[in-house]
Amino acid sequence: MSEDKELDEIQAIFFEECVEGLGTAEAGLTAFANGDISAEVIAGVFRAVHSIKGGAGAFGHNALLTFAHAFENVLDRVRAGDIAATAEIGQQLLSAFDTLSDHVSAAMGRADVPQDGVALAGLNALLAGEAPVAAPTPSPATPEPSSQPAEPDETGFVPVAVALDLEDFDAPEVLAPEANSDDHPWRIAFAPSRAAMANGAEPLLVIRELERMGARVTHADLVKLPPLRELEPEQGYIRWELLLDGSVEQQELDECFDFVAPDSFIEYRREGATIATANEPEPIVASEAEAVTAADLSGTDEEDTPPVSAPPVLLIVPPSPPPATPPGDAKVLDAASQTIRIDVTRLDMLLNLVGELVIRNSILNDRLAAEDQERVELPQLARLTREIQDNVMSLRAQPIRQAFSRVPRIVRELCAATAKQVNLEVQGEGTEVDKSVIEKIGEPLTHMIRNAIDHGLESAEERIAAGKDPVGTVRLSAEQKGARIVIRVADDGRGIDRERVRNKAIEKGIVAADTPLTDEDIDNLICAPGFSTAETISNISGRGVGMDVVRTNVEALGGRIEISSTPGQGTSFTMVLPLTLAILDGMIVRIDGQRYVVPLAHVVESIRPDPGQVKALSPTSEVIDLRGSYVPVRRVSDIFGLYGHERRSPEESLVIIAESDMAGCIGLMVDTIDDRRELVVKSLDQNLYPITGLSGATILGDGSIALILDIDALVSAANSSGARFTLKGMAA
Amino acid sequence: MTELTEAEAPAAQDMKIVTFTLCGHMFGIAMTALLEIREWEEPTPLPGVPHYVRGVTNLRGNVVPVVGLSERLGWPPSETHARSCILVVNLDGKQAGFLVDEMNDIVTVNMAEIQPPPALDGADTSMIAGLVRVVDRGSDENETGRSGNNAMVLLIDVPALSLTRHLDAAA
Repeated sequence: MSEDKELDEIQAIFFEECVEGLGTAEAGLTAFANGDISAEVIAGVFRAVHSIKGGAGAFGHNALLTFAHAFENVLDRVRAGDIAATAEIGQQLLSAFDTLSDHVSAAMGRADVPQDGVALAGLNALLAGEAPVAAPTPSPATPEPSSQPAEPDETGFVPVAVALDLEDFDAPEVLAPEANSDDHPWRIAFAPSRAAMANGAEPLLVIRELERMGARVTHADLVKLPPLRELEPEQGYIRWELLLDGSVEQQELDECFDFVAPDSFIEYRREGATIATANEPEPIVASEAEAVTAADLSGTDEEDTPPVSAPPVLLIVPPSPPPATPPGDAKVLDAASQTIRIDVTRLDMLLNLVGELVIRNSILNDRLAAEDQERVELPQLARLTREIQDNVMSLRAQPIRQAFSRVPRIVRELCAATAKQVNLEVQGEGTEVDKSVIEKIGEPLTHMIRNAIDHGLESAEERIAAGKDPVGTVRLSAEQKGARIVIRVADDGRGIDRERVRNKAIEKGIVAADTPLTDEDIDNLICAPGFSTAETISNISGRGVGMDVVRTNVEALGGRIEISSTPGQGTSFTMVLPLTLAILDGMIVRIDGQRYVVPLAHVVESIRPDPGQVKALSPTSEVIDLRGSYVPVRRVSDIFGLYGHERRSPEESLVIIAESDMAGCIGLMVDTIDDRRELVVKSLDQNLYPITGLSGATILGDGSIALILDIDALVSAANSSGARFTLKGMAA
Repeated sequence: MTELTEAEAPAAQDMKIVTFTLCGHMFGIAMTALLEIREWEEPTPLPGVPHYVRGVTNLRGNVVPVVGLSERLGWPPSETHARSCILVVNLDGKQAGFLVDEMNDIVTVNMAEIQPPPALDGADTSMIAGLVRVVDRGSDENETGRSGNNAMVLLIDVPALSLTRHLDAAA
């Protein structure tokens, strides 16, 4: 059930990517057909189709895969210049593109699988070098052998799109009450949830009602009942089982449970087969369920999970007449659609407004007289707004698990396709990243995993010959490092064969034969457009688009990609991404009446200098004696040249020692430290432009703005402007 | 002004303008560019920006720059007082706040009555879209020094303030 839902979610993401990809491809092809034939346009279309193909393969949409593969073949030839890129070809590709769109719609369950025989033939004709057929005569409906997406394929995947189609639920039910003709007695199980109790549902009344209909309680399950002193009267602990005469209509039963909170456990079936499960079982301790899911996800051995099958229960609606649909039914309906995808900008707008609500609330509080502040309404309102804020915040930051959850499946399928044995290790999937990051890393992640398994890992025989465990390991990890998210895909395979990469790059004309290349340069060639070392072009990889896509997407996110490889020991690809709209842990400092934020990740320590500890090097530069090392000290107001106030003596100030990964240490002289808290980073370039020395701004509790210092920039500015003293430099 | 013409064209060549005072002179901008009017609040100063960018302020969770419009147009900087306002405008999809001395009125003018600024030697009128005469209902004659109740309004060409372009260049 949970895997099913997960799959739906992943599929939904894939479909969204498909739609995006189609948009890109269409724009490119239109430009192409209109005569704008540039390498970038073709490469863009190629990438889009390649990604669609990849996803189609991963989800077992065979018809789509077949067609996209053919399409891609043609594009590849066009890209290579084997097929002349003329406007006619563009036209023909555009019509083939329409068939591709139909295939995507079919995969989404929105349309029938198109008859692609003609289009395929057209593409193959292009491949074979024939002139484009002007008006291909539609051969009378040749049935496509591969056009059967509804059939479970060898991966056991069954598209469950039907469950998403709400209209279907209005249709007469398959398992209508005709089955009631044989009057098997009903078996009813009922366990009210905490929510039901909180709503004031009285289980006793429900049971009395059932008894009135002729039911009798056969068993009361008291297993979950705690000792008396731990008993929470609001919690539902007991599960009743009842037996009821089969002559009672199911509808009457439905009515009986109408007013019980929908998350309660309610199940009734006729002696024999399950007819209706009105609601999902809800364990008393909700977190238990989550813990189980999390454990499942982190479990490395995904092979044991049984093949996915759509439980028929999902599709069953209690056969009550449509007009009298009780609210509980809605719950059953959305089993398949309980997640909503929301535009991130709308989420941001909400977040901004809620932040403002909190601020106005505290301002209102300040303006009220003390006795009014004590009134119960105001603290309640404040608490409520805080809660809303927390909730909205948590919407924006999502655990990276969402992006990682598609990986095990990809690995399984690649294992099957390459006949390699792979052990997938996942770490840090609870790392919270911004929604936009999750949305954008899906595709690069797929390519990186594919690359690691197809290119990185050796076959079992090779591994044994090399004295390695025949089962290869792919390690997928995510962690937050300061204001960056580091996502790494590492394998313990053969490593990058630099000689081969170099030769291939020369052969493909990516670099000149006499270019001197460092190991690092060679590793980076992997990300060059059109590069691939694979000897054969397969469904998995070898087109040389993959790593290009990775690099393009990562750069679009403002990140970078790092490759490190040790021959014989493995390769690791690292995406270093910024946290957009990050929640930053910051120290709020006050300098000349203005408040600034120093990101806590950069703060080493804060010192109140002793007299004489800060020494002047020149009228404008100072150093602090930090246990024998001299660290440059800067006043933020000097760096920014903002204020001409009287300078506090160092003894009246605090010095914050801040460290930058790249440029060493600096002491920032501030007046006071106000606070330390989590802050929402707002970019300055949304309405202005990026300013050197600032990494953004944040809105404080009173509605005012504090600027966030960019320590990296400040340190390098300080260390390049004369005062070149780092801890290392002075330690000698 | 072309975009204003397009936006207001269906309404019988009429357009609504907001008038306000800078250094005792009456200026106006098209209503279509205006998002809201706020009380003056001292913004947070920014380092390394042109002198007329007074800082940034919080507009419902958005960090918005506040521009001294008077300085931007080359007049002496506005002194802030109780009637100072911030006009929040939309500038090519970005938001900016303009500090103005006093809000005046909202008036409807006929597009045909707007005159282009006369070309004068040495006068930089690149940020003025045109001149228009309106009936001044807001302030009295002594303050504006106009005869009758008519006042000349200098219509500001908001895109020509080129804040984003200028700022981009500064970056």
